[in-house]
Amino acid sequence: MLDGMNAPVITASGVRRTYRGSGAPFEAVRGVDLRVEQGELFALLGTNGAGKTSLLEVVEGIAPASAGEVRVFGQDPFRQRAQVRARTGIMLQEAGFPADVRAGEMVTTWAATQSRRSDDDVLAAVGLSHRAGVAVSSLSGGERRRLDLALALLGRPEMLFLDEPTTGLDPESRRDAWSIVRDRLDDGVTVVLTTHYLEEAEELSDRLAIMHAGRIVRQGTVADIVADEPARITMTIPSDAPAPPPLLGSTQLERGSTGTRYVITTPQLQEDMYTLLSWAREHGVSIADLDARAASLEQAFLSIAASSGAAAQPEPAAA
Amino acid sequence: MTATTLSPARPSEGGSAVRRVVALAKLEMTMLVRNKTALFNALALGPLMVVLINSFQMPGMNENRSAFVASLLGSLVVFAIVFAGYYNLCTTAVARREELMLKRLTVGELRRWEVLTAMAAPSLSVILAQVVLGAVAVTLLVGAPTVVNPLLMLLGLLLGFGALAVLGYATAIITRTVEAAQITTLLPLAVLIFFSGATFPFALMPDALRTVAELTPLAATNELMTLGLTGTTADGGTLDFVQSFVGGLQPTIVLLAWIAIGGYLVQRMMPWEPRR
Repeated sequence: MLDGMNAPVITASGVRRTYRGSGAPFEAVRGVDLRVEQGELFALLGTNGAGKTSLLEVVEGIAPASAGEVRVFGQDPFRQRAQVRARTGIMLQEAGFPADVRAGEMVTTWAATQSRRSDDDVLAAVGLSHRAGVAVSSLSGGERRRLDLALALLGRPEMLFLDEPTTGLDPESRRDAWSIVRDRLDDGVTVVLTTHYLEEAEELSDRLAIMHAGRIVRQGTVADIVADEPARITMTIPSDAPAPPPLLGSTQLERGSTGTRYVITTPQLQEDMYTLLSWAREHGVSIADLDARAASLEQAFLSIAASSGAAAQPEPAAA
Repeated sequence: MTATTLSPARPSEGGSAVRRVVALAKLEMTMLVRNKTALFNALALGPLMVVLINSFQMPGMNENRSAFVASLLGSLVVFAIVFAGYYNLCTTAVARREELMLKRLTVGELRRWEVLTAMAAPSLSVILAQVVLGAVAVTLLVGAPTVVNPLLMLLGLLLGFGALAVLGYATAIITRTVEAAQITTLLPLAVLIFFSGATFPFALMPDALRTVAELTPLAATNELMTLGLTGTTADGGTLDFVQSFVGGLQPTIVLLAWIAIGGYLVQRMMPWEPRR
């Protein structure tokens, strides 16, 4: 690339996906452009029914796009499935096993169907070695999720699709899963991940996109996305203190028993903090419960969900 | 960059398709063998049926022993492929779909037809075992059959199984749950068995009905089996080894047509994940 960026592993332009059931057709993905570069972790966030899984299935080559174009490694993931699949590992949001199958058998079988062989012990990688001989029906939900991840890692794919990989995992297993994903990123693997845990996206992603009602409404690094959101200052000022100075941000007041609680939403955190603290020192005011923080991804996410909430439409369960 | 040091994936087909089918078939066989009760029941069915039918002393049975042996073996194959093939594969496909195994298999390198082929492996094994055990029982109880054309018998068994397997998968299209399979397969089972020639003699049917019956897959299978065993056609003519191939042409075409029709329906309409 002329601009020095990595080569894109995934490109999508104008992707649409329409479900035609018995009722009126429903458009779950409404014109999405994407570009995921080699070796990065790209997180796809969105409210329930935003179209994340519908979009992901098109990029994974499980379903064709109703319109638009997708390329993975420069190939059409649906029409040139065989070539693309050999290089990708996919962990679906929801997939099952026959009840009688044992964890180890599932791994052996899956490995034998792949064109790339590696003798990696994927069960050990997800901490399930001791459960290899156990019927899948006897595994806990979290263990089954880890088995899903193990299968996606088999054959050392160059590209990993992880659809809500840590849903149902306890905090420790979640951290373990993160460290597995980080190891793959260190090996140069490209990862596309969807999650409902914003902390997970903040922790792992190089770039992320927020989807809403079938469209990508915000895209960039965590810093990019958070930058548009105002910071917040909260504090309590004693009732006998003089009125605080005017600030750049907007202020909401709540009267309490010990004083007045201020919630200030400001695009200029540093400036307003300076004004406030200078005023407090000058007048000898002791501010209680002072808290000042930059916007979080969660806050950005919630404000995006709220601003376009009225346009939200339900998504079919298949999506 | 360990990921790039691996051997590059070859998009070559052929050998790798066989390898994928064998891998999944092995897993299906493991599950079959694990369920000891079901396996025993399936295998005991063949000899048991022979003993049972043989115990009804039918008129004319002793005069024309070879025809009786043929009809016994024909019935055995018909019932094996209709229950262990058609019914069993319909429920297996629905069960794998319900438990989201089919959905999982769509994200791997296995193609859909490879999955369906692998899933049929335990059924075919059970059927072959039933037929072999049943033939042994026939030999012991009634006497060894004289075989005119064993190739035609094998062709009948395999094509018959193929047609019934594909129709089982096609029935899975309209079957939402494993329980529902008992209902969705009922009418096809009744029609298939009634027209098979194994329960209701063709000789007693009006000509028009018989023409229709001969176009059903079980009747075609039965005809190939009988032809291979005794060389007798449905009209009662007797053919030798070479002539039997010519006589087997029509039922072969009928079975291939059913495979094509069922295969088309499955390819176009089979849901790979549960509808909710």
